[in-house]
Amino acid sequence: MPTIFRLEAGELGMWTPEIQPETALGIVAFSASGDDAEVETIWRVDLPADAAAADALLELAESAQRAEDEALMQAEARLQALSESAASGIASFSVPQSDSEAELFSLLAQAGADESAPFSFSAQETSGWRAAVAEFERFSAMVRDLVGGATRVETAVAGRLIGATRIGLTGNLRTMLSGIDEEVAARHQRSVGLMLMKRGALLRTAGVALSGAAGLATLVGRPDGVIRAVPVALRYIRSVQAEFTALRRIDSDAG
Amino acid sequence: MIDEGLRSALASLSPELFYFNGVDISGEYAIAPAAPKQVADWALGKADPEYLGDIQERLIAAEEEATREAYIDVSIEAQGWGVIFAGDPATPDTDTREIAALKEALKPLLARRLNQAGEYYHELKYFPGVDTTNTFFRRRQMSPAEAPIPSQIPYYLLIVGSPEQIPYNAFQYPLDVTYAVGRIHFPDGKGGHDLDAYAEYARRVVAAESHPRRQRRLSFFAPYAPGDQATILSAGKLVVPLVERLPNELRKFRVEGWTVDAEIGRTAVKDRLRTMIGGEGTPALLFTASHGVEFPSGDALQTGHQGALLCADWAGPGSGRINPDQYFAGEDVRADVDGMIAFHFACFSAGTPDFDDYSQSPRRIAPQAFTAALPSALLRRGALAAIGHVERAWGTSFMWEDLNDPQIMTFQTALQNLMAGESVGYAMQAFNERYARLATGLQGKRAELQRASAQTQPRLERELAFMWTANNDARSYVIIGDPAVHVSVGAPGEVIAPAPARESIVIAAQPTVSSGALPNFVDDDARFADRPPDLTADAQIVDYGLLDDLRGAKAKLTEAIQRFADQIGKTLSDAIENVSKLEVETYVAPSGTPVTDDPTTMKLRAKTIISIDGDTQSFIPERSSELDNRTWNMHLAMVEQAQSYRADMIRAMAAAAAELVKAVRG
Repeated sequence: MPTIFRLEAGELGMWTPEIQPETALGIVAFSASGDDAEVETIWRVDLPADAAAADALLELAESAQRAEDEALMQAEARLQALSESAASGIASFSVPQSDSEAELFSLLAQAGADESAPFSFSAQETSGWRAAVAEFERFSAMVRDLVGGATRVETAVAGRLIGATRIGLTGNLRTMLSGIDEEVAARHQRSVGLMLMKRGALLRTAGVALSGAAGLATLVGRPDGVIRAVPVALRYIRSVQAEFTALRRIDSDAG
Repeated sequence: MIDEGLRSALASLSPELFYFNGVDISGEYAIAPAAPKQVADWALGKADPEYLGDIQERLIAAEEEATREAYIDVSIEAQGWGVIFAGDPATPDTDTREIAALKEALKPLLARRLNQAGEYYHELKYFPGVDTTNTFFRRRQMSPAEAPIPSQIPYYLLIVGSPEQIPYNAFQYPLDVTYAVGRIHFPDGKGGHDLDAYAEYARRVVAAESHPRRQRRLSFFAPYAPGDQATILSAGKLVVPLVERLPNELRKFRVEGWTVDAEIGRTAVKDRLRTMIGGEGTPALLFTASHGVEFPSGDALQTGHQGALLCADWAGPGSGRINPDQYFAGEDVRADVDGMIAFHFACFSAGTPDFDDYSQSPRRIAPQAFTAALPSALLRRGALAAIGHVERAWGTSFMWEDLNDPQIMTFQTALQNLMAGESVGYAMQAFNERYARLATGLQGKRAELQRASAQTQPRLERELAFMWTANNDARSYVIIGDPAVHVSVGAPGEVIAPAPARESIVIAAQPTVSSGALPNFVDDDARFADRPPDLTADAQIVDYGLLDDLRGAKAKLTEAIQRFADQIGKTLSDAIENVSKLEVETYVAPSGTPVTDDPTTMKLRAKTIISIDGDTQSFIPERSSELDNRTWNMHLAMVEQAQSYRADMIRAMAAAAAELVKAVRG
């Protein structure tokens, strides 16, 4: 059954995943001319009836996505810097670190735990890394679904479905609209755009986590360090993105 | 052997010039004779680049000459022993009252060294504010680049006084490259010397050299804090490998009878360290690796607590101000540690200079340079010597650039030599040689950088920065105490004091491994059984069932990455196969009608097929209708979105696929 993502603040930024037994709106996939993959994920945007409010919600989501993209770029740059620092081997024994970096190093150390060595960490002390692994499993499963099957984006206004677009594996689009209202169509197109931005961001996040892990592998200190560092790098990216979200909140509170 | 012609030629040489060997093909000097200032300019990098390489070669040669390779006999009897006091330049040949008082306090030690060194015993003076290394050596008719001459400047040198009087940078570090140098300084807190402390130290050193004081035990203490890269590395990349390697190395070199144990990780708390410093677990050799606590310049606690060993009581970065309950400082030494030699890998563990050694512009870090309180406190309570680090200690001490393997041979060699009964000063030669190698390399790197192209400059600058840090770090290991002392232990197996009933991490015993009820990893009492040490047995690795969670997580991770890689690969492959065309369709239902899959209500209003060669086919809606134009505009917007998305998606998947290949291949 497909995973449904709703547009509201959640663990995926402005998208919250949920699983429903059936699609509430009764849509089933059209038989496609050449793109027959099953729909794996449904992205649902529920807009209010008021046009200004609907536009504001979409603008908020687009802004949040842009901020997330920027945070991803920052995380990538910081991972690169950390990788270079790790490669150079320079670590002072009296230098403090930020929370994100502190967590990163802690998890890297846990990632290096050797289950066969008497000096390794206790099971308790590797809990952070194991949680990061679980987080990566969920993330990778979601991205697999995103790229492994078709995706549908649905836009509803005041509960009534006004547009749905099916995006095939290779990017073919099939859009269904209720009426020819340019404003409504434009909002649905923005929903599709939001989903495409998020899908692209998730793929880029995977790429950054993987390249970041390659750079941090030496700090894990094991032959399979790259693999062990992947969930750590993903956790770090999430942590940096959370920093940015917090800063944006402070900025907006400060007016 | 010198004829008149040569004698005359020698007399005609100007003493003001440097003469260089070498004539080039033109028949002229490769480098013309040069005045001292010119040569100094060259050395400082201000000179004609043509000559800079040659000067740097001279410096490199001088440093290499200054490095001792090996002594056949490094005993006091063969190599001599000297003590260096801070003299008064106004009365260079007279002992000041301070020197006289210090000599009186140190009399037992000085008498013993005189007895050992005989004619190679020296009492020397360094004149603060006046002396340089050059002038100090010149007074003894020696070049600072010369190897030790026991009759002029002996190999073992004990500095008595503060680093304000006899400085680290300008004197102790350069001296230490070739000589075995130690320092003692016991301030009385009022700007003078605590003469009782000097006397007590001297008495205890002589006593320990007369009768062994400790069992043959080497103990490691290595806390780490969650999220703290530095201590995670020092515990995992320095101490653990040392603990793992030393038993085999000791067997190889037939150094017998030593037990090696370690307290590593979150159990390395202050109370534990207390048992190892004056408690029942006090070893002959103690090696600690931790943070050294740092205070702002002039802080009330700085001189007493700077360099204190931060224990696992500290929760890590972000856990707030550190308090004394979390670190072991000089005032925490409350019991005797006779015969112990300590090695503290920690920032400021041996002392603090007045200015930051790692800052490009002068930055004061202490009102004046001082020796750390902890090693001095240990010496006051009977320790023979304490090795530590002046200024900050860096990971470059045991890690190198992108090398995965820890670089610990310097530490290993020093510890092995100590355990083999060598003097502290000779054991630390490994560190001096390391510094000399780095200093040589640094000279070369500077030269390389000066000749670098724009393309290679960034890499060379990075390498230079690393080497400079490593160089400054390497030179800063110093001995607090007499460099001629040895571990005070009996013969192998000799019982000096009742063996403490303490837990030992099994290095080489034969643990019982069963596939049934395995010990709980968290329960130390079960995990570390108290067994007699047996260095002749092979090391065993013990399996712990509760670590299955860790193995399970690793297995899940590997599977997740593999599945992810498979899917990305497949989708990318499909995308590339089908990239030949892009289809975009737009269906419309009458206004007010919900979107469904009912073909009677959803009409295909526009379709565009774009081929990879750019050929575009469009199915245009019915003509001459404003509604159709609007449909077409909506459709075009979706076409544009599809084109942009496909390119982005393939790009992102390709990037992810490339990184996945690297990850899966390791």
